[in-house]
Amino acid sequence: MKNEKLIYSIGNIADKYITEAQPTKVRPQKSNVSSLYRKHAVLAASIAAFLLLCAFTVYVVTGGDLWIQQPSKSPTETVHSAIENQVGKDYTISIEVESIEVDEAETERVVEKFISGVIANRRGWSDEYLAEHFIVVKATYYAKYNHERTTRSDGNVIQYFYLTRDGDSGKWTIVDNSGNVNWSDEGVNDEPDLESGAVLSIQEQIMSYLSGLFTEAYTPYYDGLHYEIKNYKETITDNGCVATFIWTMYHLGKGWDVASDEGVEMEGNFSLQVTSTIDSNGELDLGTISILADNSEVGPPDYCISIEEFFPDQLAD
Amino acid sequence: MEDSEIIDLYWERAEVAISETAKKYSRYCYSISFNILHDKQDAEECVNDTYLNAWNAIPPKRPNCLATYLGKITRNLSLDKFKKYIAQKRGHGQMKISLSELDDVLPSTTGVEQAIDEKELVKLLDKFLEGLPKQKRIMFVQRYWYLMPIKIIAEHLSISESHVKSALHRIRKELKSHFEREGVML
Repeated sequence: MKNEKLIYSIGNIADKYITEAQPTKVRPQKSNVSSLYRKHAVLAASIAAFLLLCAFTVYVVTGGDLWIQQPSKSPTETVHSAIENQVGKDYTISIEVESIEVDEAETERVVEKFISGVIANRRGWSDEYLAEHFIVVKATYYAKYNHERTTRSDGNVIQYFYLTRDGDSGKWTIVDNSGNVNWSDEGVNDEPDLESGAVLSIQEQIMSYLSGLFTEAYTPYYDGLHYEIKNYKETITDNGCVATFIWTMYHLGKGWDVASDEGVEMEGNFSLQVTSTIDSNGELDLGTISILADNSEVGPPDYCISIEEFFPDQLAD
Repeated sequence: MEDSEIIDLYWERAEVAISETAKKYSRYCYSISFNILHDKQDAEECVNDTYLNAWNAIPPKRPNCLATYLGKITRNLSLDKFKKYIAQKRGHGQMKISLSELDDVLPSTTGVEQAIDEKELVKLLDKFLEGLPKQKRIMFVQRYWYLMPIKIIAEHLSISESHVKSALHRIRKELKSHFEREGVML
């Protein structure tokens, strides 16, 4: 490189200038209740997308992992194949499976908490349908890794796998998985806060609900979806609330129009108004919720366009 | 988790330090690397190598700012890999464009200049950046530290792409004059 010295020297300029110029979109992630909810919204939406599209694949990337699986009519066999196939990867030395079993309680909890309320109602999926097409499998195994190839630690892994069943073949496919709940506070280990009955703020509930809707609508088209609420204003009425805010959807560019956009984080902004009644537990009544976008070019906002008009046609109701 | 807690984990040699770093900074580091390499797999590799470098360096190091510390490692690793791309004649347009823009900055030689070491050069760059208006400084750092595309910088600063291009052109000219005034030879 002709300017090598200069390019490397620019790399060592004072931290304050690097921090000052740090683009909003690449700022370090913060973990909070909302991001937790986004994780679950993404899980729910990816399950929904698979159920909806009846997608069938043996290579599924979930949570950063590529699971090479042989879909089977037995969900535990599918998971077994995926775990065993980890050995074929250059960073895995050995895997010893201890147990793989369907976790009925976790299945019921995930369906109830993250699918049945938001998505199934919109799709008209019954409990029976979900029971036949969605399941959670818990796997416990010991993994030993090549530390020259990966930063993963050796040890006992407890992991939850989320599977959907293909309607035609009856075979189960992994569509998502939790992190290792034996090591970190990621994934299912976060649940006690939610289970303890903590009441989420209206803004957090809106974030959760909208994340589910947008992820469901855009997952087939975009990677790296996540969201942000800005300029949030809320008015509590006798039996409900009205909230207005800027909703920003972030996603990774595909490079379809401009090649250099590929992998670059892009954003779309929506000026929204959410109106809903609130039940006695302080929770939004999703049956009454209305989400409208601002249609005014100038002057005061005019919230009159249904949010679903912005969703890709293929998935809009 | 706060940065200081993550750094403490490194000092305790707790491997969870790496997963906590990844949780907080993977996207940040990946963006830096991808802007240079434009290759998903190589960018991910650089990010993983960043964690290993940090693991090997902390302790004894205790970075004041973990974000920029990691970002600098990622940037250097990615530049090293980019040099291999050049050797292999693999085309990666955006980075080549950013680099060629800096050709403008090379001072013309008159025979009285002295080759400058990197530390001195960094000091001169810091001094130059200090004297720039904030928006111009951000523009410069986003283009030549983060290697961001002009279009994204324009969006970030809510100005037009042509505005960014012309401003960067002027900044490079100013930097060239700055170097020439200091008698610098790169």
